[in-house]
Amino acid sequence: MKWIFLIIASLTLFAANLAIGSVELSFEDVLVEQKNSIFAIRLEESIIALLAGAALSIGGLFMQTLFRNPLAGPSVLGISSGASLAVAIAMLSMGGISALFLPFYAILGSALFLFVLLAIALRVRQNVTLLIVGLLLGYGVSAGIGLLEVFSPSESLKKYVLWGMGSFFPVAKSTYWMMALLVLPVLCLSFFLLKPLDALLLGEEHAQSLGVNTQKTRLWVIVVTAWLTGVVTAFCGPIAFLGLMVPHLARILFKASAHRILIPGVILMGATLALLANLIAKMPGFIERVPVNIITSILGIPVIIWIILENRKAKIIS
Amino acid sequence: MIFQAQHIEVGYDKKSVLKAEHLQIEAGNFYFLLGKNGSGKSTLLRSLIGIQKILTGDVELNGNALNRFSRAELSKRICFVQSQNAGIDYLSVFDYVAFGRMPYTGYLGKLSTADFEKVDQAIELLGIQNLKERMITELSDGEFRKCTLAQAFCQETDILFVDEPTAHLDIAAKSELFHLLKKMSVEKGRAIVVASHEVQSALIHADEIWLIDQAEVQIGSAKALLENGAIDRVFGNEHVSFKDFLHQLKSMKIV
Repeated sequence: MKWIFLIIASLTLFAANLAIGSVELSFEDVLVEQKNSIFAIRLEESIIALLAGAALSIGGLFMQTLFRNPLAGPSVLGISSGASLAVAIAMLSMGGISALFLPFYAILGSALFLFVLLAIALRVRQNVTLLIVGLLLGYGVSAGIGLLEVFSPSESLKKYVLWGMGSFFPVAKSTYWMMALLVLPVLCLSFFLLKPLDALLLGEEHAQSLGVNTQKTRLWVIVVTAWLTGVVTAFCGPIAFLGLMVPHLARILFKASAHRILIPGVILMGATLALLANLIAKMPGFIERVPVNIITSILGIPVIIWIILENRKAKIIS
Repeated sequence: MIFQAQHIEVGYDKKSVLKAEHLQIEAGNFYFLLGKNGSGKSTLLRSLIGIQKILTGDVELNGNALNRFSRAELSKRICFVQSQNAGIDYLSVFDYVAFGRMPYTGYLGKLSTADFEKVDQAIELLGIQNLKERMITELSDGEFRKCTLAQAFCQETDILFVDEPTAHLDIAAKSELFHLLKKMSVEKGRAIVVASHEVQSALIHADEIWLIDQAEVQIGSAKALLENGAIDRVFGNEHVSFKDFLHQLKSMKIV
């Protein structure tokens, strides 16, 4: 029942994303003029939103399980910060860089931070320590970006700030299939982590007693999360709160903690929410497109506050 | 003998906490690792199962050095039961117990019919059929401990190391839990090592007591350790003495 509901919701939102936009198209236009370029862009945009939502939410789920911390999200590990730093350097100090190359800088940036974190993860036994290191990396990056912003011309600064607000709009013609190529295989791979992830829910030593190689699992979880976050950040900007909020909503909807249910659930729900956020961002009546980050924050912050206050008061504090 | 540790020293950061000359585990026996709070019980348990490195000495499982076994291989032979509730939301008792089958399932962790049967048998052995559909966060401490034991039982290991299974339990729940553990060793042939500071339960149930006395492990039966005064040296004071307990054990026909 819940699955059917979610599938219908995502399909409806997908269709709505095709039908609604700043330029009015009637339903017949959409059906008849399949080659219409506006329609093509909307289709690409919807696919990007769907992939980004699914990828970020899996990243969030994995982080929350790995750190056993309900407030962990992809950005917490500093991975989206790594991507942001690379993009900031490319946009702000290299002058007029083509939008087409931008994603590769972001992937490079997140990959670099991934290696730093891998090195630390191999030495640090405590998950919480790693979490703090990730947070500190994020703060360091913010300082670096702030410095870059001070010394950059207003034209490229505006471009960077816009990227930072987040958008599922296709940067280039090839964006959507490149994203699909980079995201889909890793999403499939994530299913193979469901057993060690279940074990990690019980804590590291308990998981070891159940035969799980926790070091290896931790590395894989970090690799998958960094990859998914890096790719999405590259194409869409750092999207706030989606990865943090979706796993909680999925847990509440499916009343499950087992990853065999949560992984597909989170993929579906992440895609649905990203499509919803995108739809709201381009609602007719707005003169300009609203940055997706504003929408995900408006959706996400109340959800997170509610989680903290109502649902799991005792656990987050302890 | 399925497990032995010789001349071991355990501790943290090269700082020795505890020494043991010769620990030996036989199939189906019930051992009590008895010591005061902070005497190093958990450290010793963790070292014996290889989660923590031992400082010196040899640990052998089925005649092979413990560190020759991979985590996956160990998980079919040794199980480590911790007592604190991980507090996972939306996890049913059945699913929690079924985690014990992890060493035997494939990549996707799917349970076979045989696995389902083994989980059900474990649930039955511990008498928690009525809790099967409940969420583990709704359970009392005593109920949850039984679930941890059910999970450990269906992991089908020869040896179970159980850390403080009765912490925070009332006296009735404590005695029930120790009886269940005893049952697992006597009826099902599992070797069980319980770390605890419950002296009286140890004196009643243990086949052998590993007593932590001044940073060294002393081994003996309840009778021997009572008679040589070791139990009183560790746990007694001017108000508490266990000497008379020997008569009680005799009248209960335990020694």
